[in-house]
Amino acid sequence: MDTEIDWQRELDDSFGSAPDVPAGLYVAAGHRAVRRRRARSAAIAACAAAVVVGAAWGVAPAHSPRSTETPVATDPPAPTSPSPTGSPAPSPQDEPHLFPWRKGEPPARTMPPDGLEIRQGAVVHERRDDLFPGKATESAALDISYRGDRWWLVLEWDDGGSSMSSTRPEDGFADSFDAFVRAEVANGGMTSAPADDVPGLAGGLATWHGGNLEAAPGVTVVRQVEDPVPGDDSLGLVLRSEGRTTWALFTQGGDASAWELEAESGWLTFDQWLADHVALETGGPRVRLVELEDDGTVRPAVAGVEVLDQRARPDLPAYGTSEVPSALALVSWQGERWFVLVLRFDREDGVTTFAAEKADGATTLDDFIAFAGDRSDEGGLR
Amino acid sequence: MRHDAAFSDFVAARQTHLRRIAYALCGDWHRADDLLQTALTKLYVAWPRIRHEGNEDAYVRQIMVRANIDESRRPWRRERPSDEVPERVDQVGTSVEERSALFDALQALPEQQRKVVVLRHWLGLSVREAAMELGVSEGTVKSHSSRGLAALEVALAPQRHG
Repeated sequence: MDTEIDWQRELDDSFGSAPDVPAGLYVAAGHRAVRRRRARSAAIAACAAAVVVGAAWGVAPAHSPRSTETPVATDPPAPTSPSPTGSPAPSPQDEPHLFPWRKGEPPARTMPPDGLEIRQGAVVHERRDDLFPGKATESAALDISYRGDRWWLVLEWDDGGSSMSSTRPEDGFADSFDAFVRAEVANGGMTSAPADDVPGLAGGLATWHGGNLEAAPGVTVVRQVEDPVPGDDSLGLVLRSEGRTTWALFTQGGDASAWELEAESGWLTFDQWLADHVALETGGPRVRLVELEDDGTVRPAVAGVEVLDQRARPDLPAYGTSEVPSALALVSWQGERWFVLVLRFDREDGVTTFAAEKADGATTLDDFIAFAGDRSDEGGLR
Repeated sequence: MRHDAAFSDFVAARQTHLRRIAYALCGDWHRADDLLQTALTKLYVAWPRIRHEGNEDAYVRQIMVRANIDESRRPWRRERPSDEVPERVDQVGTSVEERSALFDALQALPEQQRKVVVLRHWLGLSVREAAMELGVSEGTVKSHSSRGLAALEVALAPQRHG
């Protein structure tokens, strides 16, 4: 009988664990994601150079870019197929490699910093390069066989990371290699933008130590706000570089910083952004235009706020709206329209305020839900 | 940075549990690592807001459930940052993996049944919470739960009666 079984205990005991990963790796990945996000709007799409750095191109030598019409090999897939170059393919067991191929792993991968690597013994039936000419990444699609198993792969890589989509023809995801490649290209490839890392605090635009502010070459300091964070040695900055405005806040005497491109922020003005970040730093109250009632409706919480539209439990599960009472409201305040997402938590409601003007021109709740849904894949609303 | 320290503390405290959730959802440590990597990267980006809201665990779990659902609808896809190196030879197979017949049976369940069982009966979410998280009706959760547990009972029977 179900009631006799302690499922929580049984399930918990049914499998072990794996060694933990150093937390620093996750922090580093987070840093890159933040930097990519901040750099995204300025990324100038340069056609990817068709430079292929491969560890195993002796097996599948690179042809000219976009060699879509010239299969690298036409051999039928067979476990003992010779390589296209005619030399015997060594058995996998003979491969001296620091990172061995795992069982069931597709026979091609990207290995930083060497780029694309094709497993020895694999036969490439067709290869296409530079799948995303608008992105500063390298990429390849491979119709490839290894030991009788045929794979369709789309790989993309740059200095900041790599991605691979793989399927086997029998999986039925696509009718043909061409259809698979077209679908993957249509999906846009790597979700992260090309690596465009900007080192240092405040996006590398400025440093601030011992009270000395130094802007990087080409950066203009538009505005400074001294000590905006109570109890901390801090400096708020508006910086201008390459036609972009960045809002920044140095804290801890310059050892820490937060920054964001003005174009990506949900706030309309630097003063609003700074006040919000000061509240985040100090744990103080953030701007709260509406209050969430127990019946799921919202009401104005600040004089001058008018609620124009609202919806309980908006379809934004990535933000937790399916887990707790929540509401999305469109309000007018200080002559502007704002979207406010409120989630009910035990200690304090979570409130996100986003100017309609900054939300890709959203004018309705549905517009904003679509916008916020897209942004959830990039880290959410800020 | 202050955020880094707080985020690292959270990862250190919760990653074992979160990795196990990912593993329970997908049944493969490598995919579980990918899932958790994706979720924690998103958490880092949204850290000030999520930390302020005090909902870190739920945020990560939600991303993993959604990501896993999304992956199942597409060809297998892996994305990773460049300094996440593949496992070295001496790391492969060293996981403290002790799969039981019950866990194998869990992985053999249809995806939605498996997720319902994980959310409801391992993580302790209510029927309503599980329904909202998975985007299905409460009746569907109850149905999946009933059928899932029935299948798991079969796997558990030998050790309970043997």
